[in-house]
Amino acid sequence: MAPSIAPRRTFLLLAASLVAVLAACTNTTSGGTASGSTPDSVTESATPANPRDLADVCISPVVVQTDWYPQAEHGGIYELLGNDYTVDAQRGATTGSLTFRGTDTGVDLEIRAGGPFIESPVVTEMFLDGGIMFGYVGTDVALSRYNEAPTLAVFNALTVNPQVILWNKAKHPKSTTIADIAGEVAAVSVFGDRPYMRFLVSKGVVPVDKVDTNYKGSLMLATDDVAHQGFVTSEPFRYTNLESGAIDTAYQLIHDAGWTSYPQNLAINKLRLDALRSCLARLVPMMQQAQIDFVSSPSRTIATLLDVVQQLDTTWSQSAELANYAVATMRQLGIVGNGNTPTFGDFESPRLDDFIARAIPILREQGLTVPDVTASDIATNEFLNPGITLP
Amino acid sequence: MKQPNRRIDARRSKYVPPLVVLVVVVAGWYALAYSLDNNFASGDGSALIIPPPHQLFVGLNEATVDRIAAATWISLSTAVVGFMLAIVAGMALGIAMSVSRSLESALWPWLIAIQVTPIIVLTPIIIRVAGASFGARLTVTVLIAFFPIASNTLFGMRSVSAALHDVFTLTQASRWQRLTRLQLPAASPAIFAGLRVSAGLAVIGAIVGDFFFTRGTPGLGRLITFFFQDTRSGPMFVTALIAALIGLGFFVVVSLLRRLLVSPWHRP
Amino acid sequence: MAVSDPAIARLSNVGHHFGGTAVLSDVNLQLAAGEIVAIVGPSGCGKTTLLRITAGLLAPTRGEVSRPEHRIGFVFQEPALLPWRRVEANAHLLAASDDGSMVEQLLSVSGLADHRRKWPHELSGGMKMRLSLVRSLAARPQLLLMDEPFGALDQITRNRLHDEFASLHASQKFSALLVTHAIDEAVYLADRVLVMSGAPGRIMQEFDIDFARPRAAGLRYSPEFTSLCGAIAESLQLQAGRA
Repeated sequence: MAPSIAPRRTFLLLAASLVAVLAACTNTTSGGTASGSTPDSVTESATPANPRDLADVCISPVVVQTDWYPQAEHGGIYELLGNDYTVDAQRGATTGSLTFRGTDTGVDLEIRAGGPFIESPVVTEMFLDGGIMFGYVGTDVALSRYNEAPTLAVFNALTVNPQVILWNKAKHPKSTTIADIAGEVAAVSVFGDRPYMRFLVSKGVVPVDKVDTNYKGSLMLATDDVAHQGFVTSEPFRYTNLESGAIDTAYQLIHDAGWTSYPQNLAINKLRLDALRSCLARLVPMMQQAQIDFVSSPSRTIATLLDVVQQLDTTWSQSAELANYAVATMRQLGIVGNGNTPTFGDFESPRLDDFIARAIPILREQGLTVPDVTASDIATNEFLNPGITLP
Repeated sequence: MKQPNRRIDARRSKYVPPLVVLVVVVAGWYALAYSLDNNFASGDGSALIIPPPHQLFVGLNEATVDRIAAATWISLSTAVVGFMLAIVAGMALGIAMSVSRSLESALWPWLIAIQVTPIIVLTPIIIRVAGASFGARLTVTVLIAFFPIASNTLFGMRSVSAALHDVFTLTQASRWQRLTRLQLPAASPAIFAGLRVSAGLAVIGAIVGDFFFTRGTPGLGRLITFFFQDTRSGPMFVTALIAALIGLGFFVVVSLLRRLLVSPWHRP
Repeated sequence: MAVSDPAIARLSNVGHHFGGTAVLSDVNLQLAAGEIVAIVGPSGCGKTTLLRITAGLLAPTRGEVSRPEHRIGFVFQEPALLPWRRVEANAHLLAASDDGSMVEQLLSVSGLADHRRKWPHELSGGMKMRLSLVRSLAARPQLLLMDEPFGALDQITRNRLHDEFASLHASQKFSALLVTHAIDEAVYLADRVLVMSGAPGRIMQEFDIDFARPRAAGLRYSPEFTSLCGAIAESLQLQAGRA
C-alpha cells in the first residue's frame, strides 16, 4: 500500500537528499524520489541507463481514457503525443509515439476521447478494458466508486476544479457568489444528480427547490434567466462570442464554494498497482512536466488539439482563441498550479481528508456505499517527482 | 388414456411452458451478465454493467431504498391519478361524441391529432406552461392515456344493436336510463379493451414523462438515469423492475375488473 | 285514440317512404282486442316498417295510427336480450315490480326456470327466443308486435314455441301482429292472415282462419289447413310475380 502522504511531504521538507535512501529503506517506493527541480534531473535508481526509455517498464501503448472531447484541460497529455499521431474517429482514439520533450520514449501513447465515445463512465471503462492504464477520475467519483471500482490517483492535472456556476452579469450585477445568484434566479441548472449540488444544498447555498437537473451543455443564458453549471475555461468565453449577442457572465468556482475535490486526476485501476508500479515511476514525472510545459508554451499542443478535434469530426468544436483563453484562465485562477506545496500535481492530504469528510456524508445520503477511506486510499504521491514545480 | 392422466397433462401444459420461458429468461440473463467482457472486473466482484439476478440487491442500502421509495411514490401516484383522470376524460369525451354527431365531427380530428403526436416530446412545453408540478405530470399522463378510452367508449356506445335501442324506446326509457342501463353496459367490453391499452400508456406517461421533470424529487424515470450516471447497475435494475411491476399492477387490476364485470357475460 | 273504438290498434291510409323509395302505400288495418293477425308478403315489402310504424318506433310519412299509449311489446327477429343480465333479470326487465310472480310463472311455462341463473350466451337459440317472448309478455302488453320471431329456429323448436305462444296468448288475451314468411306459422297461430304486395307494400288480400282454439299440432296435417296454406301461397306468388 502507498505510504500516507503527509509524512512523505515532511520528508521532502526535511531533506530532499535523504529521501531516496529513506524511501528505499522503508521499501515503499521505487521511483519519483529524485531531487532537483528540472526535468533533466529526473532519475530512476533501478535503471540508470536511459531514464526516458519506457519500453522496458511500460506496456505499449500507454492508454489514457479522458473524460471528454479533446480540450485544453487535457493539454498536458496531448503534450506527450509525438507528431506522428493518427486519429481513429470511430473509436475516438488518437495514437502516436509517447514523446517527452522531443525524445521518443519507445512506447506509443493512445489518448481516447470520452463523452459520447464511451458507453460507461471513465471509471467503469477502466475496469472493463484492461488496456486502459490511466483514466481521468475526480476525487468525488473515486470515492463514490471506491467500493466496487477502486482507483488510485497518481497525479492531479488540475489543482482547482474549473467547474463553476455562472450567470448573466448584466441581469444580476450584485451577485458575486452562488448563494447570491441562487436567491435571484428561478433555477440553478446542473447535469443530473451531482454530489456538489447536494453539498451546496446541504450548506444552504442553493435552496433545494431551485435545483434543476436539466443541464445538457447548451448555452442556456441566451434564452433563460437562470444560473447553470459550466467550465470557467469555456463557457464565459463562449458567451462573450455568442453569435446572437455577447453575454457577459459572472461565476463562482464550486471549489470556492467549498467543494474542493481534485477534479481531473490521472488514476489507475488500483488492483493493478503492483503491475504498473515501475512504469508509473518513470512515466508520472513526465506527465507532471508535460502539463507544466503545456501551460508554459501551449501553441504546439493547441494545434494538435484542434487538429484532433477536426479529425474526430463531431459536433464538438474548439478554436485556437478558446484554447488559449482556457490556458490563460487556468493559469490565472490557479487551476493549474502548485497548490500549497511546491510540488506540482501532488495531493495535499489535509485538503483531501477535509474533502473526504465533506463528501462522504453527501455520497452516502445519495445511497452510494462508501467505505471509510482516507486520502492515501484513493491517491498517492509515490510516483511524483517532488522537485517538479510550476515556476 | 385414463382421465386422471389427462388432467395432469392439462395442468402440465398450463404451467410448464411459462416455467420453461422463465428458466430460459433467467438463464439468458445470467449468460449475458457472465459473457460480457470484464462485467465482474470490479474490486468487490459486483457487476459493472449487468448484475446477474442474485446481485440485483447489491448496493440497496437504506438511503437508496428511500430514494427508490420516494420515486416510486411520485411515479405511482402520477400513474394512478393520471389514469383515473384519463378514464373520466376519455369516457366523458366518448359519451359526449356518441350523443352528438356534430360534437364528434368537431372533436374527433383534434383527438386524432393529440393521439398521433408523441406527447412525451411535448412534455418540456407542458412544463414551461404549467411548471414542473404534479399537475403537469398529470397533464402529460392524461394526454398520453385518454385516447384509447375515448375512442373505445365511442365505438362501444355506437355498437349497441338497433333492436336493443328499440326495446328501450318502447319502454319510454329516459336518456339517463338508456345511457346507464343500455349503452354503458353494452360498451363495457370495448371500454375495458381501451382501459387495458390506456393503463400501459398511463404508466409510460408517468415514468417516461418523468425524464423531463428535472426539478425536485425525481420519479422512477429520472432516478434510473441518476443510477445510470453513477453506474449503479443494481439499483438501476431494481428501479426498472419496480417500473415494470407498476405496469404489471395496472394490467392486473384492469384485467381483474374486467374478469369481474365483463368476462362472465361477454363472448367476443 | 277514440275511447269508443273497439280496436286496440288502427292504421288508416298509412304510407311511408324512405327518401325517394316508397315502402308502404295506403295500408288500412285494425286489430281487435285479443286478436292475432299475421302478415305475409314478399321480401322487402315493408312488413318490418309496418310493425315499427304500428309500435310507434317510426312515424309514417302519410296516414294515421292509433295504438295503446303503454304496454306495447315488440319481439324482434333477433332475441335482443341484454347480454350482461342473467336470464331472470332479462325476464324481469320490462315487468312491473309487483308482477314478479307472473314473471316466474312465465319462466316456468317457457321451461326457462331451471336456467334462470344463466347468461344469455349460455342459452340455445330457441331458449333465447322464448326468453325474448317472456320478457315482452312480462310487461303485460295490450299489443304485441312480432317480427319473424321464430324465423331463425329449426322446425321442431319452432313448432313447440308455436304452442307455447298460443297457450300464453290464451291466458293473457293480448292482441298480436305477427310478421312471418312461413305460411303454416301464420295459419297455425293467427285469426286472420293478410297478404301484402311487393314494394310499395299494401294489403292485397285477407284470409280468415277459423280453426278452433286451442289448436293442436295435428291440425297442420289436416286437408283444411293444407288447402288454406295453398291458397295463401298462391296469393303470395301472385304478389311476388307482380312485384
